[in-house]
Amino acid sequence: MRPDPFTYHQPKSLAEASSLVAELGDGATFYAGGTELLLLMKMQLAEYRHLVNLKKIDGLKTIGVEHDRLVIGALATHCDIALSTAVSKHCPSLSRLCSEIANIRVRVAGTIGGNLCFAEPRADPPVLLVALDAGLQLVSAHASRVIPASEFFLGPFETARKPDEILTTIEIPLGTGAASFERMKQGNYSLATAAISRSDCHQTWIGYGGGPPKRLNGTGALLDRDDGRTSEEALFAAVAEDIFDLEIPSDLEAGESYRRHLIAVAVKRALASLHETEPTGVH
Amino acid sequence: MDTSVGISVEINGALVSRSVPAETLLIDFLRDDMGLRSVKLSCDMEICGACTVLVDGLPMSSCTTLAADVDGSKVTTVEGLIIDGVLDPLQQAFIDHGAVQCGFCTPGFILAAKALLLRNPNPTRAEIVSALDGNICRCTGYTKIVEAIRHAASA
Repeated sequence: MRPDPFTYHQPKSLAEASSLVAELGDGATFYAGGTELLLLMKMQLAEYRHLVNLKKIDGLKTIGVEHDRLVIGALATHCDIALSTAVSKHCPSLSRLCSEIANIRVRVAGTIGGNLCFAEPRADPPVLLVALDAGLQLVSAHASRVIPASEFFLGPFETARKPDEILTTIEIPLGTGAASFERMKQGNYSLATAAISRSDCHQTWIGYGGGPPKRLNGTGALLDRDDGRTSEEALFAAVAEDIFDLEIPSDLEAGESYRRHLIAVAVKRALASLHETEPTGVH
Repeated sequence: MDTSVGISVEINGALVSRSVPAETLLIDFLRDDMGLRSVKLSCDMEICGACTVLVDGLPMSSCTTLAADVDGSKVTTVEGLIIDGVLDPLQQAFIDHGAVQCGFCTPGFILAAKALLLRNPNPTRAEIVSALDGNICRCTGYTKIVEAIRHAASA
């Protein structure tokens, strides 16, 4: 499989990159790690006549703590995040998640920003980042805004990012860093994922491969009342009720009813790992 | 419209400067332009690891990397592990332990292992297995491969 010919642009600034995509229109897109975009172009499922490489722009890979936030540059690779001491200190669940994405070659090339903007419904990072209450900074030639991760994902392969906006940073409030994440994986993608935040309430989010992360309100309320004696039966019932109306994919990897079960198991495991890790607070 | 890109890459120790069409994949550049046929195309979707090369010491899937993206980098294939006609200890260990069957996946496995040993010279068995979980051997010769790497690491 080979991609069709395209022109490769290598701007040195965000403004230049954004303006290029705005001027070139539909046939142009931003390019980072390429682990997803190049595959689609090779399979002729996406066609772009212009790729605007973001990797030559300085400062987009920085990872560090700024005030009360862990700030991760969107061009940081999964490998960079997995190896970052700032991330392992303040957000160990994200360290672990990034160390287990796909395989080492994808982690070396793939970027967190590319992963989020691609919005693959089976990807792992979106679910944890919404539970962590992450903010995503989007920059264009003329404007900049920060939107909550929970408002970024609109559907499979669809986000709130405008075509000429560049995702530059992911900002995670330090207090929520202990949110847990668990996944049920077979093959290359997770079949079900769950993340539970430790902040004021037990925000419980799942990934189910069919759409953006879904918040389970009933399950979250049950966990808020949890006195340590919530039975597995009650937890599974709450999850089942929360996802009753959700359109769950059914394919060769797993049927719908099995996926519904795996979602509940992922939530159970995320709750167990939340209990295992004591709150670390803000350091 | 000219869509070519100028690249300067150090390949197996030799500096190469070329102009390539922007859409050129690294695997095609290495195999067709550089004649490095150890780099194998198999799944063509970053899963099997047969096309693994090292870019600045890190393993990458050359089937889904643009040649343009390795501009300014050092690329290593298994040909580049041979120094003055002497095989790398990993290569020798693969031979000595019968870790090669059909051989198609072997360059990818050796380079994945090389990347591991570069950052972790004394890996545990679990660390070796984990580092190889993105490489597939369809002859299923995994046990011999892990043994070979353990031996090369301890040698």
